[in-house]
Amino acid sequence: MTDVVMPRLDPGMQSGKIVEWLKKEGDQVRKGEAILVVEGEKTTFEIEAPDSGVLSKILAQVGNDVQVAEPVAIIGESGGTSQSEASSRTVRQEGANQGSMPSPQSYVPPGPSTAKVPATAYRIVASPAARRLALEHHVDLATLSGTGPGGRISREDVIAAVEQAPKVAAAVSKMVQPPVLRRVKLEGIRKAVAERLSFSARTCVPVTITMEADATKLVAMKEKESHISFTAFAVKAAAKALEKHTAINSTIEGDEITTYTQVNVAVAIHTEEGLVAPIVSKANEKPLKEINLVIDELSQKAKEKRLTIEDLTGGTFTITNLGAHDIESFAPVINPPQCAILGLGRIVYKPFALGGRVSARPSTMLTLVFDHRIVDGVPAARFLQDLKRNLEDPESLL
Amino acid sequence: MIRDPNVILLGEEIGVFNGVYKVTRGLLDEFGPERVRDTPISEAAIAGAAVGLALAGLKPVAEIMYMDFLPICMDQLSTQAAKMRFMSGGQLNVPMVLRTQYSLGRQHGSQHSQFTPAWFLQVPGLKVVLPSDPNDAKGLLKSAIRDPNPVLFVEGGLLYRTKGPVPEEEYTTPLGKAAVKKKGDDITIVAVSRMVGESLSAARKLQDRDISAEVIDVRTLQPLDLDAIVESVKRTSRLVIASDDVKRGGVGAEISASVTEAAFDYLDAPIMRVACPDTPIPFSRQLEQLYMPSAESVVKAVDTVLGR
Repeated sequence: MTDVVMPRLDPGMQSGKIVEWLKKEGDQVRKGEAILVVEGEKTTFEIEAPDSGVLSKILAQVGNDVQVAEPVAIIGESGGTSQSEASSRTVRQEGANQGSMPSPQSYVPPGPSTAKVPATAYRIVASPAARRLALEHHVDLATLSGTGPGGRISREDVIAAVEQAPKVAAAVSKMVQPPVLRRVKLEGIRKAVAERLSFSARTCVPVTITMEADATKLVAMKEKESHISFTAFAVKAAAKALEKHTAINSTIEGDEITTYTQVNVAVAIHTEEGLVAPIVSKANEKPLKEINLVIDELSQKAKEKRLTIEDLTGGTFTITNLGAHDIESFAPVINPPQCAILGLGRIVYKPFALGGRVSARPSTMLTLVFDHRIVDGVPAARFLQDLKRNLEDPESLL
Repeated sequence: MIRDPNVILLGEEIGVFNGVYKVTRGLLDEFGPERVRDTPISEAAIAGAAVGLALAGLKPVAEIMYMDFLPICMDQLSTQAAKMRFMSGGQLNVPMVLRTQYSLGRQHGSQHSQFTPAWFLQVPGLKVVLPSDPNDAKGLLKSAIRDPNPVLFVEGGLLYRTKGPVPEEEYTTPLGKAAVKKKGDDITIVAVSRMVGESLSAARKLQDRDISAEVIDVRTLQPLDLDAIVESVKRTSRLVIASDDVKRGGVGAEISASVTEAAFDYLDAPIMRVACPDTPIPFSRQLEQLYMPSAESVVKAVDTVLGR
């Protein structure tokens, strides 16, 4: 008898919602065969049978939200009756206390995607008394700054915050509430985006640097190779530069910086549900045309909500392009735990002074936001310089 | 002694010499050699005799001249006195009092100055009483003598010179009840024996700087009035423990651990101990003064806890 459990398919995943059972109770299943569809925070995915046998009991129905590592079904031996306590088992719902982990043999770790779970945020230094008071008065300790020794949040700090609160509440009650179009609970992709970006904002030390790139050759090249997107050029240009400037090709988790040999460039794609950033893996090894194909494919999959967990994890750098929407330049938020993100603006003709004459040339603004905890300004600037040179010489990217 | 003829005294030089520290002055004359007995210089014999007298139905009050000599009595105290009632299923009582004093601060040297109450906290069945002022000295001693269990009664050598009001009339001070010596809101100082006075003087200095310290005299370490301490800590959220023993493994450690268990969620800062350093007590006056905790060291600990 084997439990089918809700796998953790990305580091931030807490639970998954059952979308569809592809098998019903009593069906024969083969090991590796997809038996149900689950919606995680980023995408839907299929869960495979961890063992062959009979799907003897379905524990979580469609629509149920199941905690990671909790069982969703039981697979019994073929033909044999499952002497399981199946009938008495119930699925732990979201919000319940954390249950025990299933036994090792029944827990199926989800392939290569079991990335390390990042250490949760940072530790708030607060005294036990402050923590108790904060809990009692619903004060978020993260919003307070401590006045105790070493910045410790003390009892008084919480009391001060509580005493402030009624004034704020009174003011809020007088505030005019405009008519509501809709209220949407933060969940799914929106929630994942919100959590990742808040985490980034809380932990990163972002520094923004910008550089203007001459896009003359790029525009000329684009006329010949019209099917290749600017984003693809940028991915290739970045991958080449990352190969050289390895420090940028890093992630940070807790107090450890990991630098990679492989360059996996995440590309931000807008979907109706929200932002996703699937990966062009080994972008340094792939030729430009292949990168272009991969991006097309990822965009298509994103649109159809078919992105797999492999598509979404393992990025070492991110590129986001708002050029199509007339944005000149912008400083994006770093995609944690990565070191840096490149924001691309539109290509626009601008006057250039050259040899005493002014001429119009296409150019684009490159904005790099990097985590100063991982690299310093000069190496980041050197990286952006190389990236710019690569982009200004698109022949070299072919 | 007037009230109960079963109360008898024994110890070194308590009779003819009126006591080394004059605690028993005049008692030989008043009650005679049957009830006030000078003994040979043998602490083991004094303690053993006290256990025997108590088992036989008397209420002995024995004096051990220095707390440093208690290890010589340890077998009688720990193995015999503290366990008799438990092991006999309540058939035997040991209503004895072992009085002693510690002379830290009187230049009596390493072997005649120690304050070691924590040793006796490991002896269930033995009460440990430590008066800090004249009023409690009378009230607690009466309670100790009337208690049906063995009591170790520790006096502060430096406290013998303390003056304070003592009611003439009969009263007892219950064992296991701490005394709030000064009310305060910002920090609790729990003090033992001589450090109660030092802590009160620290609290006065702190008051000048608008720091309101509550000072609690434990009075007895076994039983410990943890409720009173916890009640105070829940209000102040901060605790300093002041005692004259060596800090490591001392009474401060025990009180600190008990408070953490009982009131962790009320603490706003680490609990600090003010006690003696981890060395034998120096004889030199200057070094001994440096070695001893004081009102100043209590103020310093309070400042650390408050982050000032």
